[in-house]
Amino acid sequence: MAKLLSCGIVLLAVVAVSPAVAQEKKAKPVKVTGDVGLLDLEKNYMIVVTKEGKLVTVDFDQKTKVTKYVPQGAKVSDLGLGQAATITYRKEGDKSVLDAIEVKMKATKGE
Amino acid sequence: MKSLLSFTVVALLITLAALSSCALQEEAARPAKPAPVVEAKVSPPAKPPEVKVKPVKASGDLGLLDLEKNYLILVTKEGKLITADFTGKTKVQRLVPQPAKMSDINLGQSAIVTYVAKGNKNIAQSVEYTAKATKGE
Repeated sequence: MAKLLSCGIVLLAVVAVSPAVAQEKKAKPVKVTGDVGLLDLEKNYMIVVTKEGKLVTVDFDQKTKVTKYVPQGAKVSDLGLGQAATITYRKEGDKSVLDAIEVKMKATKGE
Repeated sequence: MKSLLSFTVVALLITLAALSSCALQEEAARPAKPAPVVEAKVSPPAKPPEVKVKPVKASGDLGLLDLEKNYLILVTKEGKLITADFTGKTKVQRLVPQPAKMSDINLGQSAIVTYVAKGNKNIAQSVEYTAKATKGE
């Protein structure tokens, strides 16, 4: 009888905890792009102003990975298919002529 | 004698009157001066107004890169294909990632922040930003 009771308690505990775990799993990372409107290095938070004018307040800690992308000159032949790129072009007649191409290099392991 | 003088005066007056009337007639018969011809200045044909074409920015993945025909196709996230030609003037840059600190970020800098909502707080997982190219780069 005692075993049955303990089993029931365990089962109840699992049932009670599982939604919380599921909810935690549900928290998908959100990506936001904008300008840094505020950066408080003492209180460890920043405000990002999106293009739409939305203000997103985000806290950061030691685990927050900060990456700076440094532009380096390259040739078109250095580019590879499938690479993420940002292009700037102008319409000239029925053609689009490229002004600039920026390709984001992937971080190697350890970076 | 007196009558002779007066006759001469009258004759002179008549002659004068006849002469002056002839001069007036001649003046009236003279054709009027033609109006000065004003040459219309022919302005050179107006140049068509130079339309400044705004540069368009697009992001995506390189779907095709033809180094012989000098063009590429960019596939945007929305699935749109953008074909664009590159020339010798096209500036090509690769953005090399480097680890940084939060204190390196400047206000007003464009950044991509990835965060997770925990309770009523957003916790940043990563912050990416592009450093400005120094001169010559």
